[in-house]
Amino acid sequence: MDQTRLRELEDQCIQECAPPCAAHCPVHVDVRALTSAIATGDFQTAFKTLYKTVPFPEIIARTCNQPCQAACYRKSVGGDIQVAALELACIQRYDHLITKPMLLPQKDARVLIIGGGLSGLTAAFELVKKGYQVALYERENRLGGRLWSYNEDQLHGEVIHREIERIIDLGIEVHFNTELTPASVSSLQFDACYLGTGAGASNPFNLLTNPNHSLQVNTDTFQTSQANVFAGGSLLRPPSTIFSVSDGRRAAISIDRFLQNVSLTASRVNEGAYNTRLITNISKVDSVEIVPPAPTGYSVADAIAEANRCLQCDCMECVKVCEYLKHYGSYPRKYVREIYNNLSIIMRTRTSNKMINSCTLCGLCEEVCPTDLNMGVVNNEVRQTMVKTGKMPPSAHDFALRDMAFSNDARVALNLTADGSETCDYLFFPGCQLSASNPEYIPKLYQSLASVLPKLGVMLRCCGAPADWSGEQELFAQTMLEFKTQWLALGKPKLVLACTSCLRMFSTALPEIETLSAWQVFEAHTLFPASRQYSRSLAIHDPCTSRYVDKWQDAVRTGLDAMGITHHELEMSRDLTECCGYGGVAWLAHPELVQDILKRRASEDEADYLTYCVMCRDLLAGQGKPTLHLLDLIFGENLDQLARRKGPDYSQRHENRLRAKEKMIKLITGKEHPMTESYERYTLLLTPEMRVTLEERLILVEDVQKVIEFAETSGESFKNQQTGHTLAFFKPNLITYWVEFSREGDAWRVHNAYSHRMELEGRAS
Amino acid sequence: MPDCARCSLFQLESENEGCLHLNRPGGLELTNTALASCKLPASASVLDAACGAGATLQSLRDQGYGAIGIDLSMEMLRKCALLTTTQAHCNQVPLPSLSQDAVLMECALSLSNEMVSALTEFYRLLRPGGWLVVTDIYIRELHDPQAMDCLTGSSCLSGAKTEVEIRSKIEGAGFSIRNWQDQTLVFKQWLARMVFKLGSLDAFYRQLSACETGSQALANTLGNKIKLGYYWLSAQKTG
Amino acid sequence: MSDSSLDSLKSQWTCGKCGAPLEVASVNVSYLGSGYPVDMLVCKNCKRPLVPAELALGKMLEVEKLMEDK
Ligand code: SF4
Ligand code: SF4
Ligand code: SF4
Repeated sequence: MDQTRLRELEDQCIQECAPPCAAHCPVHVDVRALTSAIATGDFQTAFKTLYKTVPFPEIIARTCNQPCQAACYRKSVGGDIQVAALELACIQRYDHLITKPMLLPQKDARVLIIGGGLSGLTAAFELVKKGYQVALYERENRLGGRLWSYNEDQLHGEVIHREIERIIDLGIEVHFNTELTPASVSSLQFDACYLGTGAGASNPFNLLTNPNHSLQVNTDTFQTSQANVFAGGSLLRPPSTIFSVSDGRRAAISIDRFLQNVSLTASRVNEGAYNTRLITNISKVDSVEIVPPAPTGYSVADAIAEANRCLQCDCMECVKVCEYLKHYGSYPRKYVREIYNNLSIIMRTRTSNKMINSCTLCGLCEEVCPTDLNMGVVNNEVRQTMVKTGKMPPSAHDFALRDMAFSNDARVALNLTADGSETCDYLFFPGCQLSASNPEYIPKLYQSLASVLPKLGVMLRCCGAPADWSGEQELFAQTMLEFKTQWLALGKPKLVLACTSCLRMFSTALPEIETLSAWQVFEAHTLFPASRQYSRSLAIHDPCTSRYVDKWQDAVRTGLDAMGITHHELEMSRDLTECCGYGGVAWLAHPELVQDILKRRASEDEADYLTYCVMCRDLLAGQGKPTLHLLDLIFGENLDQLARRKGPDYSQRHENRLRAKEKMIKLITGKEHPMTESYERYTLLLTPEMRVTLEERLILVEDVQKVIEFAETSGESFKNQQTGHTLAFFKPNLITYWVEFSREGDAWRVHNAYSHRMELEGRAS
Repeated sequence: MPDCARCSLFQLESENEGCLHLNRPGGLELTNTALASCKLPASASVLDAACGAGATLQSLRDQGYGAIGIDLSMEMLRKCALLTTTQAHCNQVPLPSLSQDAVLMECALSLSNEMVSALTEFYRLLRPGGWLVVTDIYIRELHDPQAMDCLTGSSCLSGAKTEVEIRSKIEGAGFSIRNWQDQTLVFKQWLARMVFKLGSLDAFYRQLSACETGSQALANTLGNKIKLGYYWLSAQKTG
Repeated sequence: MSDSSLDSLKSQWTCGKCGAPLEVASVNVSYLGSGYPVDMLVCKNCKRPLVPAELALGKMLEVEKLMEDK
């Protein structure tokens, strides 16, 4: 993840691009800010917004041909916003607020403006503000040029005089009734000149022209064939007051740069009218009709009503659907920047690791983003960089990684073929979390599958998702390699999966392996039990890793139909589905956020949910949302109760994985395989409160048992004289666990348990 | 310039675990690393501006430098009995212009509310090509500029600045920064010692802050909006 | 550890292995390569340190977080 890549990503997010109105307006009036102010009745702020970019607000409001409306997103849902009329509504109330602009200290350079129309006046205004000496030459006996051709109702002479005088009063030297000829121009002193004489005027500098006699002018810089002469306004294009203002301003920028002797062309993007990249989704916008202004202009109420029709265009598609993006109060363009700073050593602003580790990596953002930006991919890559450069806090994902190590330990993992032969054709890989949540379903599911799939083996282990999600690339690669070695030894069987996260891991890391879901097998061989019943219609929650996996999604729906279960779709389903909060190990980094994610998902539909990922099920049910797993419908009894059951706690999940292994060995080989570790002899007495404490402190029952075993066998402990309790510690790996306990008959009562990562090194010198 | 005797941390600490200016994060080792980056000639003249109880001064002397210390606090200077010191403000040092090869300012530059005038004074004292060596706290991350107000209420952090500000002030005074090294780890270790000593970071912030409400605000600010870091730099008088 | 809480712990706990009383000693605790001396109770004979919950979930946790926060 380097700087160039982050720049590209930043650029991919269009949220900060201008709305079409501002982009198509050649002087970029911030129409969105203007309407937003008017919508709250704040005409004063609205006026200031307009005046910031338009020095002749009333002339423009009364004459503008409104190029801003060309691409207005309101157009197709009721009609484009009446921008000029709204501008006039502010001017009529607040133009007395106009103050004299700040002028920079006088410079020596002198600029000649030829032609007193709008473009020449704008150029004069901009240059006088910058401190140049400006002399304006007008052929007629009044300024304004073409403005006088409007009828009085539209643009009264009094308005023209007022707005032009305000500008001349800044200190512009004006010469009326002077048409410059090559001879008279040569006698004038000046450093640069702006030619704004309108179409068909004379050519006092004998500038180069095109075959059709129009002047040769660079359309980006307005420079003519003579380096210090610039030209714009209606001598270049059909008359438009707003384009004249734009030309005058842009030419003034060029003249300033020319006189300062800096590049005329450097960084002049998006000057004048342009097409914006911003896309605003209007699929959910109701049509509202235009509020037309009265002949005398808008009343306050009507102006507010019209301004309220403005959609305040932006993108925010991803933020609307993702609780994580919403939580941090901004949008990906900003987040990418923040993440970059976080990685950067030069800037020393390593912000918020927590933010990077709170994304569920679910990819919904990419699905809704007009430019397909996937913040999950970004966050995952950044996690990888952090791990590689040693910037990931060691405790960030430790618990999940140890959970994975547990599942893949020789004691817990299992690799078995049906008839004891070396290879198999199919390999059932239920995934570590299904074993942890519902060990009783593992042998049942195996039996159903084995009834139709010849030579079916079974493998119990973790696919490696926690390593991938944590950014631990090396560990992930190693986990995949271990799996692949065993898979090769088994004769490259087809994988039968029951978890979409496992599928995601295998299909990214080992695409050569052929996979199918247990549900597809059930579908193909009509194994779904007929006429199951559930009291209500179930809403389907697709796991986030099932996004784009139509075959799995379809098989589940076919299965529900086959079982006679009524079901319906959530608004956000299939490719638009949301993560439950388990993805990306976000639950470890940010448990409160995961609660919000779950609440949001749970409240999207009144119905009970049906899903086909145990983690989704356990988390949603834990949040109080009755949720069934597809396997509950296939094998379960008393569905109402099953939908409401809470998932097992962390200790129980470890225990369950061992039980799943025992059951599978029994089923396939007929042999008992009791798996007990020596510390399991220590039966614990835990109050419900103590269980909660352990869960919160991420301490497993086996951790407690190991401490007690150590204390009881080594005697290394402390004794409390008053209570008789024993206090002891044990450090299996990185973490030191402490337990305060007492013996009660054959069991051990736990009074307290806590842990620390700091290491005890013995006496300080 | 800090007046250690008035700093709340000073009152808290005993002599062997002095306050921020006395028992600085990184200690003498950090000072020596920073000095080494200047490759001063043997027996160079070095001014220790804000010398406190004189630990650095003594070490400079031991290394063979011609070391002079100034401090505002007489109480401090009395502890430096055997060293060359004088009571002075660091924007008015009673030494001739162009007389020093190096000026050292430890944990005191940003605390001085007259940073610019102090820098101007150092510039005057230094020979062309002479070195300014600074160690100090700085603002490593600023998430909310308004949070800066909160620091003002604390005795020791009120003048803390960002790297950009510090660099521009020093360069603006006519120096070229040759080395800048982040030493935040050292600062964190120092804070960790404070946690063990006082019970929690919160208790530490309470010490830093004048009043109870101030400490709440300070704890919040330092938790969420401002992250402090620590650095040393060496800069050379140019022009 | 405040002196009073050290005192009260000292009056409650003895070594489970040798039965000896506990005494206050400075123990070096370290994290991510940085060590700190901390006063805590240790067995007079075996020198095994006793970390009470208050210390583990208080100061030690705070320092762990401080050092991990990059
Ligand atoms: S709806 Fe509003 S913000 Fe969007 S293009 Fe139209 S005027 Fe601009
Ligand atoms: S969907 Fe999100 S990431 Fe994509 S452009 Fe819009 S705001 Fe940016
Ligand atoms: S990957 Fe999922 S959680 Fe992460 S930003 Fe995208 S939508 Fe949000």
